[in-house]
Amino acid sequence: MSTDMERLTKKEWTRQHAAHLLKRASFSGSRQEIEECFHIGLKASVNLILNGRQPGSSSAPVRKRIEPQFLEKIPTSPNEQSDSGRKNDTFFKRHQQKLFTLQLHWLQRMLDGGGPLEKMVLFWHGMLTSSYTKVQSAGFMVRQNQLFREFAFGDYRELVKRVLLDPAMVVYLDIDKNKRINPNENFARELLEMFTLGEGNYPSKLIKKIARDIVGLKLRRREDKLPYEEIDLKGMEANSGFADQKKRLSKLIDSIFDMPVCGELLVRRLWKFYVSEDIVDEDRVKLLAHKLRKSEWKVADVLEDIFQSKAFYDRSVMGQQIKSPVQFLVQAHKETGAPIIHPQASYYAMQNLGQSLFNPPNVSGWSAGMTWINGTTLSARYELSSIMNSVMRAQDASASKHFYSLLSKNSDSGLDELIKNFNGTSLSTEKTDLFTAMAKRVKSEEHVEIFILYMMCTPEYQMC
Amino acid sequence: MNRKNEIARREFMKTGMLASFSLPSLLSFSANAAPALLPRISAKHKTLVIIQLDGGNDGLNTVVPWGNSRYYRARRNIAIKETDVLKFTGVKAAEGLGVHTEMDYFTELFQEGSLAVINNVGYEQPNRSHFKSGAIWESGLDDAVLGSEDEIRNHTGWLGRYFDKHCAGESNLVGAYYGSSPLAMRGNAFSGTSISDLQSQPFGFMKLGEEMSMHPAFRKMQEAEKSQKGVSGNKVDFVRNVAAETQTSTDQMRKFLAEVKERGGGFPSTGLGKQLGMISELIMNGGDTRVYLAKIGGFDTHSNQAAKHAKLWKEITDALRAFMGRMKASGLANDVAVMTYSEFGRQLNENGTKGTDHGAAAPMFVIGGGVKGGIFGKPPALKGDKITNYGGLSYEIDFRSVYKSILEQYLKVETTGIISEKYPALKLF
Repeated sequence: MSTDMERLTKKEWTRQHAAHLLKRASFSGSRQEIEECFHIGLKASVNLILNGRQPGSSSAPVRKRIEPQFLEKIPTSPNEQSDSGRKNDTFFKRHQQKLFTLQLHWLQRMLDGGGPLEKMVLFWHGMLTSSYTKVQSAGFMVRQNQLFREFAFGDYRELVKRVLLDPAMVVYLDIDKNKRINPNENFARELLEMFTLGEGNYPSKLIKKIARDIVGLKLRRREDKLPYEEIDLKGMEANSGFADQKKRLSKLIDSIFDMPVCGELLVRRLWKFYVSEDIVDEDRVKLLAHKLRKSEWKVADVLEDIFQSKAFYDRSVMGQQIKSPVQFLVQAHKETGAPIIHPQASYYAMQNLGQSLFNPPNVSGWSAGMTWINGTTLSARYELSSIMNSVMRAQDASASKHFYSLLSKNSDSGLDELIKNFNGTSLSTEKTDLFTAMAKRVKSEEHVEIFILYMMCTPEYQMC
Repeated sequence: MNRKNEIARREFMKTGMLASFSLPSLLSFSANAAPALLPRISAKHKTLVIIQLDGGNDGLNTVVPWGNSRYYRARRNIAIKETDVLKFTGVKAAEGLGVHTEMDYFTELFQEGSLAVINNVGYEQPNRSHFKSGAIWESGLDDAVLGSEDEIRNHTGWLGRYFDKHCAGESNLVGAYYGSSPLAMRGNAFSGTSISDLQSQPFGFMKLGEEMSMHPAFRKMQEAEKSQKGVSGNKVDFVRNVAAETQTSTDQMRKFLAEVKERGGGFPSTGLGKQLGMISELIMNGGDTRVYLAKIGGFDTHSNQAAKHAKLWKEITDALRAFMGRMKASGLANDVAVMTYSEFGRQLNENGTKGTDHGAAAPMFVIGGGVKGGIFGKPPALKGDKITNYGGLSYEIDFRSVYKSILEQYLKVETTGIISEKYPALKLF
């Protein structure tokens, strides 16, 4: 793979490339969307994507914040008795439930017409991260999620400034606990290590300076209320020192962004997220980081280069990314023909596949790549496939119905379409032979269901 | 409707949102099994159990240097009061040292000579990122070959290299872990087996797998997967390997647990208690696993440390007491060793929020397994060049010297290619 950012030419652009672009820049595309993306061409498709829109989809992305209505009733079931000894069980369950409600609403956005926008929001959530477990406020998490949506493909520097003084991050990084005497270094370190410069690229004294400079923020916590306008930020924003703090932080962040190395971390993270977990070529990082700085930190400019580069469509990239659990779940909905995010399937996925939205394990977000897959999570993916199989059966326009009609007309071309729809990467000849034999035996819609379940339990299906 | 669909529906119901807010443990431990009545078990091999303290454990409030006034000056709010320290006695090297109030079992272990306390363990140029420092500890590589965190994570881990060199031909059950797939157990031919869900969701997938394998085509497909194992080293092959190994090792684990004779029991129902309970069950029934990795998180105590830290060490102490008690009663005390570690210690001075920030060196514990009990290395001096430029503790014993001691003197294997010769083995056994 070359190291420059040479562009893919019009001549080289294929349907396979279109399908790849939609998988990575969004959460995959339907047959029609891939067709449309191919026809309007790469440049026009990337344009749509960088405006948050899914090529080929008539529905526009929803840009207002997610606004879930929380259930008032706390679910009870006999199973819950067994985990006794937790004094504030009710409290715990209430939070579980709020978190899950948030997750469902966000997942639905990903499945709807704003796939590319929500993919970008997911990127920011993994990089400038906060977790519900620490923040314990649905309102704060929604605010942060919306901040990511508003900035999305926009100004990285401004987003860092804004997200740090947003309540979720204030709680997550103990910013409000930072006092002038013996300051707490948590937030200063993460600002430099995870948000801007990267490990090893900043002097320790800079941490101490930041920790000393940003002190005395106050945040009054309040029970979540609907609508979220009522979240009480007065405790923080009306504080006499707040405007000063904001100014000082803004200056500090400007000075961090003035450091030549700034931008490289973001480029590396973008590359990892959208392109490949393999180690990124340093020349390419420098090239893109330079572009990012020149564009006044506009993320769209870097992504525009990436999505149109030959490198993005290289054989070592296409079909070579292990699906994140969220990608797996949303993509499986699209592939099986389920337009509504299924609560049971989602709950299972959020609990067992290693990626619980709004609740990353630590300040570096999710480590992704090969760490998504181990014996436990792979088994859980098989189970989720089985759940999605049941979800599929209940759909009017299910994939099993569609492919049954195709396969009964012509088993070869039907199989071709089936494999295209469900496999992330090309199959070995042995497996193609087996599938061909199976395709010939299909006699009912139910057979197709079983067939699809097999396909979803292959290693190839774990890729995108 | 065929059987497959019923299974699918059952799985579906089982995983319903309301029913699974807390999953019951299906492997019910018989809580009253009296340890004294347990039959003696003869071990096929030595077993190492690692307890990872995730987040950076504050070493100074774990092994407390109560004899050093600098400790009290640096920690006005969070120091463990001299009267609350459980002091080590009987050995000169232990003078002025003791453990946290919650760690009473550690003083018992120390008294009976089965606890090694290794002071000031760390490495040159300590890194204060959780992730990079964690990767350094897990890789166990020579400083000279470490690079960025990504580069380190592309290497093998210290246990993976041990499996590659000394367990060739065995199954992936030689390593078993809780949590996500650890770098430490990643070798060229091994990656370890996850045991996280043995308790909470026993083999739900395997029922499905069984149903599916009844279909001849699926069985054939599985065989095809196995024959393609490890062809090109790309990502799909990685998944394919995990799939094949998962099938093999879950099959084995299932068979093993079906024939289990000895049950665990009497373990606290905490996170670590459950992990050590399951591990004890696997060990007592003669499992093939050489190294278990248990995990407890929450050590990143930047604020209001005292209560959090006390709770964590109480959880460890209680779980360990149950575990070692069980091992002793089964006659396995010398065949099982426990090692604790954390990615770094914390700074000497408390911060402004009654907590501590990321530091460097910290003590490690090695317990049982015929360890030479006692104190290794000097107590932390807390002054001069024993403090790093940002207030962490300088290291005196390299962590790879601890690994090497365990490998060479306890597991009795040769360590060329596993741990660099740069790091001499401590004499822990």
